[in-house]
Amino acid sequence: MTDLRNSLERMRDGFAPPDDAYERLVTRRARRRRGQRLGTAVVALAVAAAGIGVAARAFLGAQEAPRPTSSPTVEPVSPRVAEIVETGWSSAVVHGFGSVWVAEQADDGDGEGALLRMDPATGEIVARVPAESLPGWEWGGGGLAVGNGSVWIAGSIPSPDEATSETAGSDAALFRVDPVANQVVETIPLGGDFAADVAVTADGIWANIFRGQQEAELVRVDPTTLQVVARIPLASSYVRDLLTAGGYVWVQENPVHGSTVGSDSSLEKIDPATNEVVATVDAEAAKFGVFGGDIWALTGKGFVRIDVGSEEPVGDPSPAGDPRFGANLAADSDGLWFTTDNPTQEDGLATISRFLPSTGEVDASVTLPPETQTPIAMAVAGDSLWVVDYDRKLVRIALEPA
Amino acid sequence: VKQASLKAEGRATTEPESFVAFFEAHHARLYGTLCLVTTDRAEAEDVMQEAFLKLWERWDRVRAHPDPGGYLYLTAFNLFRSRLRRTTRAARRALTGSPTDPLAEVDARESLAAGLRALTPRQRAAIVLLDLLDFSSEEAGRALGVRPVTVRVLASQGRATLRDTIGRDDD
Repeated sequence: MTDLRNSLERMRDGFAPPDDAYERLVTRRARRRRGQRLGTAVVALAVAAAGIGVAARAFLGAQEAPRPTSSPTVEPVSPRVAEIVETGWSSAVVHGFGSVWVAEQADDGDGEGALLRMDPATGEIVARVPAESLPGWEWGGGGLAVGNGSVWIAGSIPSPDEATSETAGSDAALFRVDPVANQVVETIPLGGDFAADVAVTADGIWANIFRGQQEAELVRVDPTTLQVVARIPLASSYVRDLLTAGGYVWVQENPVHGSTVGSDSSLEKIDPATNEVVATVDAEAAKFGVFGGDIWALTGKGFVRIDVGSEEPVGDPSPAGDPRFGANLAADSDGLWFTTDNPTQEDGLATISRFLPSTGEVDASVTLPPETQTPIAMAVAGDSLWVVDYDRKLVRIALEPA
Repeated sequence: VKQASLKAEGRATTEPESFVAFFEAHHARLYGTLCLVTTDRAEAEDVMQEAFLKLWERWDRVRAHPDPGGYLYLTAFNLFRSRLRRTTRAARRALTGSPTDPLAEVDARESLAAGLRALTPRQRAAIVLLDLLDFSSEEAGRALGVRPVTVRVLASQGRATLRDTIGRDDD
């Protein structure tokens, strides 16, 4: 092992890049610039910032100015880390029925575990709901939803016929948790392999599911009969979050090149009246959230509002520091909480901040303590922001009046 | 110990004349490094291109950077980190041992290749950053988005696995 470096160097030098690597780079750059001109004000601003963009600036200048999307009166808050609760390997958190619900894996591998029901003020576990499957995302939360009188879990069940299963012997499934009985009362098989996320509207329970390596689809379940009533093919085989805004269902997707998942997220907009994809939004966002009836994209350049009617980005991005990848956006009555790298210290700690759509500014921040690793999911519950930490902890941040 | 760190490589080309020259000076080694980390030629090229694109877009500032080569590697590992975080367990399974696994093409007798394949992506990244590119734990932690102690743990776990794998092959 003493010559590990030499061995690594030899191996590294044995990989020859394609002869036309530079030409491919030029092609990719040109393609991206065309995309910028066609539609994304977000990237157009980046190009402008790089000094190339007189035309890009003109394009941006034609955009509608941001409009306030929240109440004009913002309640200033002073976030404070109130307590840290030790848990198992958690992956997602939601708020509903007066409780915080946390998906806790039995270990960090197989998907089984329990849904923890916790007191949102103290973190006390008031019920533990055994679950055959839990959301499987390592980062970014998702896969839990509250609505239609239930808590919903996106996951998978063992395939009844492994020979027909498209990947690892599982079928996508939804699980309905009765918040009165504190137990899983329905399991809804969805086909495919596993469910990525779940969303609830008045007329449907929606899940986006993976089908093998090549396909993904949005599945609609009737909220009364709990039967699958529609299957909507999606453009990409890699799906992530589901959102509901403006009377539509929106699916976050990423492009797939071979076994590589691209970083340029898009949204597909589905009309529940027809169960059809009616628009696609290319936004290059790390995460999307809903606030004030609009969709907000968190991009490398900040927050951008997406008009739910025109599907267009509106206005310039509002700077949001250096967004840290991973954690969900969490909305309170005045804004969207998000995570960044600590702007003042190079200590690797994360800072959680609130973005105000009404002003386009960040008005409150708190840095997580050193005993945490990195936040992976968040939910607002009353006067608290609950943060799932990567390393088996829950952090309650008290949102006290400033 | 041969000092072939990325920092040394970067400084050797400080203030490059043009982006093309910068690309020519760095792309082959960056590509090889990313092949080690990702075990996938397509992904390695994708990350490499995205990293170069990011620098190209701000080339006026990057060319004045004291260590543009180091900046390039940091950018590439940041991209790698972001991709890791997006990946589901199932997708990760697909990424490991993929049909384009370049380590499998190097030399089947090369026990180090087998050892690297046995590591997790983050363990591979930690070893490459510390043992090939001479990053400190703090620098590697910054690149991978984890605390320095985590880098040390990842590298320690990875080296132990490498020792086991190479030891078995040598028996």
